[in-house]
Amino acid sequence: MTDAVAAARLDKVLAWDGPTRLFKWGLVAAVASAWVSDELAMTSWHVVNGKIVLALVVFRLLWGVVGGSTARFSQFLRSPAASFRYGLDLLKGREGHYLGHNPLGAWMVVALIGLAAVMGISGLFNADYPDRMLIDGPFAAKLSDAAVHLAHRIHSIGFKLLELAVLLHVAAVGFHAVVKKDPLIPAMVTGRKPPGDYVDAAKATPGSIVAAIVCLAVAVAIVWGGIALAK
Amino acid sequence: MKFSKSVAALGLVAAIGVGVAHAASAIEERQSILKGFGDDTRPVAGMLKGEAPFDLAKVKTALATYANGSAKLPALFPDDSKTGKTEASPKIWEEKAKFDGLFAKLKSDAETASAAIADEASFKANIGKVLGNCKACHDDYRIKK
Repeated sequence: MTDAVAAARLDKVLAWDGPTRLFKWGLVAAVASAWVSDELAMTSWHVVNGKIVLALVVFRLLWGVVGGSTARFSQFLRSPAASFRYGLDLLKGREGHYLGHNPLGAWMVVALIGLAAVMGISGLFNADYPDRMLIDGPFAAKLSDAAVHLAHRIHSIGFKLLELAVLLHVAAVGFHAVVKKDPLIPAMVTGRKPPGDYVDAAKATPGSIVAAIVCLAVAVAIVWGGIALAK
Repeated sequence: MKFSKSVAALGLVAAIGVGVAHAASAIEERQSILKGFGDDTRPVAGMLKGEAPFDLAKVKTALATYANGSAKLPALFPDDSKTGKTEASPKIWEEKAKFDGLFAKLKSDAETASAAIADEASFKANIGKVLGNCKACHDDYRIKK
């Protein structure tokens, strides 16, 4: 590393810690692969893929309590009223700048994680209704046609909502990056942002790596263990 | 005059009767082909899920069933077969060309896969593309009651 690069790196402040970013891109990869594996009827993988999505969601819920400062729900979630005010300020071009998620982005985080959870959970009970031939979630075999049909509808509607949320998310990030010149895309990759007059915090405190590993282990145990126990 | 009117009425009734019969037989025929798809897919699904040992003959049979059936199916959705005992979505007739294209794709995918599949590895690598067609069509054009 040259001195200039080292200096530039030191100059920037932490916005999102490593586990938060790994989760984020891990979920992107898992959702993309879930979609592709469904289109290509890669049925066994689609089911495993769903469990991975659930484990990532559980990890993120735990990490949202014990993780880095900008990953904690208590730190980045604002009231609906405050989020609405932020939205108005954004329209007027006088919004505050956030190191972590801005108040609207925070609700998008909740929506995306929530929809990933809806897909993962409904998938556990879903099958290729009405044939119930090619694929079934871990709990589908014992269920009645009516129950599988319900799971199927939730899985289908959930997917449409997830598609919408992803489009909206990408559009909003694009808007912040291009129009507002907020370097949040590189920050979600490298974890760092230029120092600035941020509303939420001057810099983030990273979560502990040991805590991250424990959260991941607990998440995997809950999902795989829970399914094995309940089956 | 009365007689010719009666003949005309009779002819009309007969024509409607034939029409209904035509629609009903199209519905029956397409359902029997699609049920055949399902019957031949069931063992293949078992292999895919690891519940049954790989059986090349059954895979080839299923692929031949798809190819033969998908050549016949586009003609079995005539305009007068929209209603009746059917799970066919009205969208089929709004997008008939696109719908027919799915059968053409299924036919060509099934033939390509049949040529490519020789063992379990090539089965697992190639069958998904064929079965994806079932979902593509059922998602958009089958009413799930």
